[in-house]
Amino acid sequence: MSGKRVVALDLDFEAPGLHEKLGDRALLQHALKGELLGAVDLLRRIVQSSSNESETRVELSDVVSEIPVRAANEGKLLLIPAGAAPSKTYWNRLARLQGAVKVAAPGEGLAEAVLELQARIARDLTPHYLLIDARTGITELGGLATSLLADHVVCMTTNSPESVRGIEVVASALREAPRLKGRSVLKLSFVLSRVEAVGGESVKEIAARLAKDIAVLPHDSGVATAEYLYGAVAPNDAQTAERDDAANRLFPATLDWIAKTFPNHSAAAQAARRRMESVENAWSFMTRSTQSSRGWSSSRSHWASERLNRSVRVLVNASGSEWREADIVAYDTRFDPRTSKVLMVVEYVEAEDSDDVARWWLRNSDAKVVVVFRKDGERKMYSAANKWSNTINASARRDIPMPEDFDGLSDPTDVSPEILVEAVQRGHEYFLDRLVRQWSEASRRSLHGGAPWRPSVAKKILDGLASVGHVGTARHILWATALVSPRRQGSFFENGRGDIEQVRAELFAPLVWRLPPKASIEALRESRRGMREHHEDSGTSFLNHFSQETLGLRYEPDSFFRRTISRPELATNLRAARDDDEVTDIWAVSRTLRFTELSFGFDEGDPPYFSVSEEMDRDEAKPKPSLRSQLGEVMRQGRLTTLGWLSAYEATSGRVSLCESAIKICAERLSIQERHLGSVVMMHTTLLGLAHVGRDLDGKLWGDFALPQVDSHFVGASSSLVTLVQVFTHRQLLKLNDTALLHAFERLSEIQAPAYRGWKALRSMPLEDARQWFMCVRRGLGTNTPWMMKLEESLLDVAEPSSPESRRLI
Amino acid sequence: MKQIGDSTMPPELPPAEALNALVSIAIMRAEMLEDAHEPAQVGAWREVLQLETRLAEITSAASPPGGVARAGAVDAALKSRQFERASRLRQEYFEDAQLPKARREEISSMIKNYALARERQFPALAAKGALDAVLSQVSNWRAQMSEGRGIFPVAA
Repeated sequence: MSGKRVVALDLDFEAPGLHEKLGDRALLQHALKGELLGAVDLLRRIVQSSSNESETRVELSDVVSEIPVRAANEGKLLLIPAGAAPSKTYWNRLARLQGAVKVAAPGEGLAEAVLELQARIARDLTPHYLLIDARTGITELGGLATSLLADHVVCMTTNSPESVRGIEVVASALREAPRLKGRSVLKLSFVLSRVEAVGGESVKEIAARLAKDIAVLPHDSGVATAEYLYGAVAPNDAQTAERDDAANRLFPATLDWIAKTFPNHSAAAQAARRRMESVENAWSFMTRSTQSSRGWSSSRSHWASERLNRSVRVLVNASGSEWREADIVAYDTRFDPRTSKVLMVVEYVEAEDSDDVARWWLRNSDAKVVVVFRKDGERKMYSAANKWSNTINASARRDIPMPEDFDGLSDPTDVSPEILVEAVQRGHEYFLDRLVRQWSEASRRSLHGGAPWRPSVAKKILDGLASVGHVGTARHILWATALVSPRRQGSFFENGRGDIEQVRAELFAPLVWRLPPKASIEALRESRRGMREHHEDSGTSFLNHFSQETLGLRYEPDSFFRRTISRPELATNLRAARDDDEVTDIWAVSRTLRFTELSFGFDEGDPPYFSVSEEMDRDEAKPKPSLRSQLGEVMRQGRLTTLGWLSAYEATSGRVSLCESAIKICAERLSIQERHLGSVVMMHTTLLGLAHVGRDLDGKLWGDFALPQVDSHFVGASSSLVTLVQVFTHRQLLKLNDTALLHAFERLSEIQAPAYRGWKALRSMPLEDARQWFMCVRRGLGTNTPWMMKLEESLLDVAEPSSPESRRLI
Repeated sequence: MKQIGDSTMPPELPPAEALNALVSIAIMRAEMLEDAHEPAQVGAWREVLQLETRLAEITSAASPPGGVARAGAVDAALKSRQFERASRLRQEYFEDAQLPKARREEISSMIKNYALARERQFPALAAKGALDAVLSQVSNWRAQMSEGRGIFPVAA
C-alpha cells in the first residue's frame, strides 16, 4: 500500500467481482446471503433521495469494508463492492437502480449520482487514490467511469484481434471525450494481458498500434481457470500446482508495470514487490503438492491451504498498542480460530533485525518456529530454546519446514543427521530423502574436488540407517537409497549422474547387507518392478557390482541375453522367421537363459538337509527329531553348513532362499540377532549363486561347473568353493565394517564344518590369489595350489585325528 | 378576431383562453405521469413549461393569470429538471416591476426549496460550494456526449 489510503470501487455492475478478489470469507458469506450493501444501493439512494422514494437509508459507511493489508506499510485499503453479488438480491437491486435512473431526469441522473458518490468518498474517506473497476467497453457506467470520473484510465485487453480493435475505438473516444472543468487531461495506459508469447511479432504490432509503452503481462493458466489475487485470498492447492511457472513471470511483470506507471512511488512499489514476491514464493513452496523431475510428476509434502492463513495480526495487549503481523501462519489443523494452534510464523521484513523479530514472535505466540525473510534475500529460521527463557535458537536450516517436520521432530528447525536418523529409527520415513542428500553432500569428494568431505557424518548416517530393525522402515530406507524413481533422482541430477552411482554403491549396497534380510530380499525383488517402470534395475546393478568386486565375475543377465540373440547364427534364423515367430523365438531364448538370473526368497519350511535325514527315517521306532534338536546336534558336532541347513540355492532356477526357521534357531543358540545371522547367510549364499551364474572376461559360465541340486546330505558345493566363498564373505564383512555382522560370521563359522572355518587360515591371502584359485576351481582345473595345501594343513591341525568327521571338510 | 381553428390564425400565438385550456391538460398529464413514476414525466413537464412561458408572454405580470403563468413556468422548469432555465426565468420575470410581491415570493420559494432539495441530494458536491457549477458542467458534458462527440452517448 506504500503508506497510502486507497479506495477500491466496483462499478463493473454487469460483472461485479472485486469483493470476491479482495474480501475475506466472512464478506463473501455476507454477499451470498444477499446482505452485503454496495455502490448499487448507495447510488439508488442518491438518485431517489430527491423524490423521497428511497426505501433504504444507505450511507457511505454502510458500504465500505476495510481490507486487511500489511500493517508495516501503514496504508489502508477500503473496498466499496458493487453489492451483494452474486445473490439474486443484487440483481433485483440493480434492476431497481436502473428503473430509478430512467425516472430521474437530467440533473438527477446517474452521472450526477456517481459524481456525488465520488465527492462523498473524497470527503469521508480521504483516499490518496480511488481505484475504479469498470468496463472498458461501451456501457453506461463504463463511459461515466472512464470519461467523467477518472484521471488515469488503464485499458486492459487481450491480444485477440477483436479486443484490440475494440480498445482502439475506446481509446480514440476517450482522447476526444469532453472533460469537466478543472480536471486534468485524461491519462491513458494500455495493458496487454494473458499473452502467451510476450516477445512475439503480434505483440509488437499491437504495441505499435495502441501505444509505444504498452505493458505486456504474460498468460497465467491458473488465472484462466480460476482467478485469484496475490496477497489476498489464498489460492487452493490445485491452482497453486498449476500456475507455478506462469505466476513467476506474471507477478514480476505486473509489479514492474505498477512501478513504471506510478513513478512517484517506484521505491515503495519495489518494496511491495519484494515483499509480495517473497511471501508468494514461500506460499507456493509451502502449498505445492506436486513436483516434476525429468518429465515425471510426483506428489510432494506440502501444507494444505486450509492449515494456513495470510496476514495474521497478533495483538499483545487489549489496547492494541503492541502488535505484529505475520505474512503466513501455519496451524496444527485445518484453521479454526477456537481450536487451532500456531505451529509456524513466516514474516518478511525490509530492514528490521531478524533476531528481534523472531524473539518477539517466540515470546508472544505459541509458534514453535519463526521464519524471517529479509530484503537482502536472507532467510533465517528460529525456534525457542526454552519456553520460559528469552533465548532463541537460530537454525542453519534454509527450507521452510513442512507438516511432517512438526510431527517427527521436537525442534523442526534442527535437521542435523543425528536428529534425522533418530526420527527415521522411530519410523518417520519422510526424512529419508533429506538424509540421503546429506549423506551425498558429506561424501561428495573426488580427485577433482567436490563438497567438503565429512566422512564421519556420512558414516554416522550409514550406521544409523543400518541399525534400523523394523522391516517396513528398512524397506523404505532401501527404496530411498536405491534412487530408482525419477523423483528421487531429481535432486541428484544437478550434480551429475555420478552422485546417483555413488549413493547406490556406497550407501544402498552396504545397507542391502546390513539391514534385516527380509527388507533386503524384498528390495531386490522390487528392483525388477523398477526395471519395468523406470528402466532402472537397482538390484541387478547392485549384484553386478558386488560380483565384480568380490569374485571378479560379471553379472549381467540382460546384457548377455541381448548379446546371445544377436549372435550371427541365431540372428539369421530370427530374420528368416516371420515377425510373430521372431517374438516367439526370442521368448524361447529368454526362457533358456533365465536360469542365469538370481532370484531371492524365504523358505518357510524345513531346510533341505533336514528333510533328507534318511538315517533318522530308517529307525521308525524312534521319534523323529525336531528341527531344533537336529540342528542342535549338527551344531554340537561342528557339521553345520550354511548351504543346506540355513539356506538353499536352486542351480536350475538361480533361486537363493533363506531358511527362516533354521536361522532363528541357530541365532538363538549362538546368542546373536536373527537379522545379523540372516545377513551373513544371505551374503554367503548369494556369493555361491554368483559364482555359479557370473561370467568371466570371456563371457563364459563354464557350464560343467553348475552346482548340483542341494537335495542330498552328501552332495553340495565343493569344499574348495565353500572355503573360497567364506573368504570372500569375510572380506566383504570387513569392508562393511559392521561389527555385529562380523561377530555373527565368526560365531557361526565356529560351529560349522571345517571348510567353513578355512577362511581363518587364508586371511592373509591376496584377493587376486583367491580369485585365481576360484577361477581354477570354477574351470575344473584342480585345486592343487599352495593355498589349498596350506588350508588342508590348517584344517587337519584343528580337527581331532580320531574323529572320522574331521576328514570330511563339509 | 381570429378564432381557434381558423386556418388564417397565426399558430405561434394562440389566445390566452386556448393556452389556458392546453396548459391545464398538459399539467394534468404531467401529474399523472409523475404519480406513475413514469420517465415520460420529464418531457411532460417540459411541455407544460413551453405552454406556461407562452402564456406568460401574452399576459400581464400584474394580472392574476399572468402571475400564475409565470410561477407555473418556473415550477415546470424545475420539475423538468432545468434549474438553470428556472433561474433565468426568475430573473426575467423579476425584472418586470408589475409582478406582485406575492408572486415574487412564491417563485423565490420554489427555487429555494428546489436548491435545498438538491443540496440534500448532493450534499458532498454542495459542501464544495460549487453544486450549481458542477451540475451545469455535467449538463454540458451530457449535451456534448449526446451530440456524439464520444462513443458513450448512452452514459449521458
